[in-house]
Amino acid sequence: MRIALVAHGFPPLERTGVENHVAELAAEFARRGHDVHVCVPRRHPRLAELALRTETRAGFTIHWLTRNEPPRTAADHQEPPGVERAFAEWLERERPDVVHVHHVAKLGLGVLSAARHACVPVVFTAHDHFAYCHRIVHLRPDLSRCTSVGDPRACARCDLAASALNRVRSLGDWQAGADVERLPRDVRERVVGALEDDFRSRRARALLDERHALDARRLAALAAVELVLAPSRFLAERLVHAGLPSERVIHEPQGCDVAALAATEPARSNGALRLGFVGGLSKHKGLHVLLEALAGLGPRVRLEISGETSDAAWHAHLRELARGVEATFHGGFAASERARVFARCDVVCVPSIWEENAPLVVAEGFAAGRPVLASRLGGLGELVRDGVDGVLVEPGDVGAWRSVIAVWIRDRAPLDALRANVRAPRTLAAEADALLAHYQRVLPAPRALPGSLVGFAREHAAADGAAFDALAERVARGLEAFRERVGAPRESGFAALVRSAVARDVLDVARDSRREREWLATSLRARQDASAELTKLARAKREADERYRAEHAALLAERDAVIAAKRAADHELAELVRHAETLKLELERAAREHTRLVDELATKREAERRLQQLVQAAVEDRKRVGEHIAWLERSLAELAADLTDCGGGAGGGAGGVGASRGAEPRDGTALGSALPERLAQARRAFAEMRAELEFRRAEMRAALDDKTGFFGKGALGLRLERWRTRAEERR
Amino acid sequence: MNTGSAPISIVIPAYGAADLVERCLKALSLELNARGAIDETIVVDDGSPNEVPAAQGGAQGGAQGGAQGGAQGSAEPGTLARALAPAFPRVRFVTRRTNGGFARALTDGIAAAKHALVFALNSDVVVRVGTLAPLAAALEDPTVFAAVPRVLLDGDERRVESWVEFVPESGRVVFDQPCLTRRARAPREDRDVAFPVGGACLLRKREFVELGGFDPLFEPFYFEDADLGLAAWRGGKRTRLVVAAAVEHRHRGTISKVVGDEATGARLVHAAIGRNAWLLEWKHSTVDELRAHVAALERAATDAWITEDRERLVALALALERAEQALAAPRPAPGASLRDLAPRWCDTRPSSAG
Repeated sequence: MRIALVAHGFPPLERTGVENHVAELAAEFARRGHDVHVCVPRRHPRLAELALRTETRAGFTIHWLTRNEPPRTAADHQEPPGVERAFAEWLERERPDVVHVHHVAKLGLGVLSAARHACVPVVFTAHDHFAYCHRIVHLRPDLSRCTSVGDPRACARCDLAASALNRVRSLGDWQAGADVERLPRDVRERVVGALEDDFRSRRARALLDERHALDARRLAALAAVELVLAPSRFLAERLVHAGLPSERVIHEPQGCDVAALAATEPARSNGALRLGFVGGLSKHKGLHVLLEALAGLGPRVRLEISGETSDAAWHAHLRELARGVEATFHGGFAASERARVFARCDVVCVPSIWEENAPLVVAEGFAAGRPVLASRLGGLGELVRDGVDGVLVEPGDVGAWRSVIAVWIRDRAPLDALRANVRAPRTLAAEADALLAHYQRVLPAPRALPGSLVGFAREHAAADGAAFDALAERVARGLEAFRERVGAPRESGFAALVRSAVARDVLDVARDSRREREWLATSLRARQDASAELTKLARAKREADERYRAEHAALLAERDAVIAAKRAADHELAELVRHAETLKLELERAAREHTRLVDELATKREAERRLQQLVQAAVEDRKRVGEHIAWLERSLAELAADLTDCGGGAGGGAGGVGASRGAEPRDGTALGSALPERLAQARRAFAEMRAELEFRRAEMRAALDDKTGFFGKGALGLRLERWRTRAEERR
Repeated sequence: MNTGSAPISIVIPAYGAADLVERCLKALSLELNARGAIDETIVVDDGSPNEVPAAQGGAQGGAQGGAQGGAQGSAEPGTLARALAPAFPRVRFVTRRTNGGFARALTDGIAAAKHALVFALNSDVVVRVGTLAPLAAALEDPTVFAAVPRVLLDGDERRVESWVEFVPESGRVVFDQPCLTRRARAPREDRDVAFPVGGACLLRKREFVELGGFDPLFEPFYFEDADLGLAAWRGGKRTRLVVAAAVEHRHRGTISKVVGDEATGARLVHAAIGRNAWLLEWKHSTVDELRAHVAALERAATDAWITEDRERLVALALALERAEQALAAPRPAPGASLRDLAPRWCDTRPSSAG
């Protein structure tokens, strides 16, 4: 079977549990005759990003994929750009039957999708909490254990808190978290605040959305793989709880090279108690807890530390903690040195503060015949039988750790009893058997084909399914046979080419060149696009400038027109003001005229009223005059009758002498003497009265005929004057 | 005057896909009715799987044929016969017990044909009315080995698949379809082509048998028709493209369906094409040409290796593994190899349509 193994590192560059285990599995599969290819990332600044180099070791081939570019975003971290394609090309060349992914750190989820697109079944071993924790260790940035599984809000809070830690340069690997008590106050407050963030800020909400999307994508990618193996039941349950399909999650314990460790020098039962810490010196491994627990226990206990870390700041902190303790830092070690490493200790300590899955150091410690003192956490309880072959202690509880160790310092008998109960762990061979069975299980079933296609399909599958080098070798052999058959010269350039290691190196370089050319072409395209965009922008700017100039000129013209219009308007306004003033004056004049006319009208009405009164008076006067005339006529008639009676005859008309007539004695003598005079007076009076009567008749007639003229001031005044004069004259 | 009134046996090899065959027969019935029921139709069921659904309904009266319906080659009616015979009672069904591929099924159908003229037809090809008579008329010329209609890819008048030729390229002789690869203008007059495309061609039964039919070297598919055409050309015969005749090739990716997924099917098809192109070239090259050809082979292999072109390398590997069979065939006489044929097409290559 052609097996591809994928991990996040590989010995000798990376020498911790998973990397060593993958190397052992590769060697085991190769030993059984399988064609094993390991694809792992490595940093190699002298090579181009994603450049691939091959190395043959212990019967299998390592394909080093160069990863120099650090992730710039969370999305890049989860799926580094270009890796999927590079891995797809690698799959196309190597054509494995199955891909077993042990970790996607540094490579990203692209390896899973590339395998899926290439229709290669994938087996994924979950060595940690990656499926539901992008921080992998399921610890928050304050190194406290996370209690949620798959809650994007909790994960986004971790991002916020980790970004706060980024401000402290002295933290080194800040992403792994930090003991908040050791942080500056402002950073501590920021971290604590971030871990309780309520996502009210826009930044926090954006980060939450992004985290939600990334987590969902990660879980979906893992849910799509054919089989997920969990080395511990604890993690298997967690994976199902996180959302992976239960039928695809299988508990598959890991094995180790028991035979190599069985020869380890036996532990001592006397002398100083030798504790062994074996593994990476990462924060979550809890070495600091152990060192703190050893403080004050004196020289009767020693701590042998075998492992390394790239976090210099944390390493310095551990050394600081170890200052008052009998502790020795031995550094990293190769897998072949494990027996020597375990020989240095009497008991293996696993003081992890994270929920361990199934740390290989436990199995290896057992294989070396050492009991294990471990945190009561995660999958450790499945490996260590508390009080039988080891002791489980509360994680992070320095006092509890110290008391257990103190007991063993005083009395080694319990430790010896534990050691006696240690059983050999599962072997690597047993694990390899199980894995191969799993691989067979996920291989696609062959499809039934029409009879005419079966033979060709088989031939095609043999050629197309072969690794590229094997295919080339096949062609080279065929070419040699062809040459021979047609009688052409025997030397085959192609055969020499494909069988040459140098040519393969050249092929690597050619591939790099191709990739670089593609990258350059992509860059060139991007630049051309940018250039085109710039050209477009420049053209747009030119057009905008032209438009601006045109608009500017139009605006200037418009401004001049407006100024001229304003001037005209000002002028017009002044005219209007002047006109308004004139109008105002005219209005005032009109108002005055109106007042005068009103007054005149009132005067006229008064005059008319008076005229009416006069007319009335005149009518009454005329009536009276008529009556008087009638009386006078009657008097005259009576007088004339009297005169007739008296002999004097009556030559005149009637006269208004009734009053005197009434007063005069009707004595004939006196009457006879005064009578002519009185008659004459009566006649005069009568004539005057007649004249007056005629005058008034005429006046009245004229007034009635010419009312307008009558109301004219002059006429009225004249008439009044004449009436006054006439009245005076009458008087 | 050529009339094209000779009766024709239409042979349709098919594997499953009753819906395709039904569509093909419906279109064909129109043409046969127009010709006056002088022809026969034979459907060769190439060992179809059992799950072929029954036809919903055939053309009125079914496709006209000269023989009564029924299965041949097998005591039991085949899947296609069961599905289609009720709707097309006058079609003859020849059933193969096992799937043998296009070439073998067509050979069986031709063997069962009653008439001297045989029209080979793919089940995903739809015949236009008025196609057969011009083809039959072209075959009245004794120098013509086969007559092909304009095979229009998806009915597009500009994409004539049956205009095929061979052209020299980088030390090789490669197959070309000018209308598809170079967007050449579709031919407006009858012309010679390199070989009769197997999907739709009219040929004489006797000559087909005399030439030995299709060479199993090219199984399961592709270039068996080219090989046959080249064999005829080596015998002084030619293949004629008749523009008055037209059929529509409604490509359905049938092989991909059979194989499973499209990508795998495409790989398989490309491998068959690539392999058989090499085999065809080797079979129709003289010994001297083969010796000179080795350099081109080396170059092709090196190119594929350096560019990591797996598909080309796979095709070459498959071809080399079958090279002995190709090289064991009789060598063409000087002047009658594929390389001799190729320049003829170059000389008459039409200008590009732009």
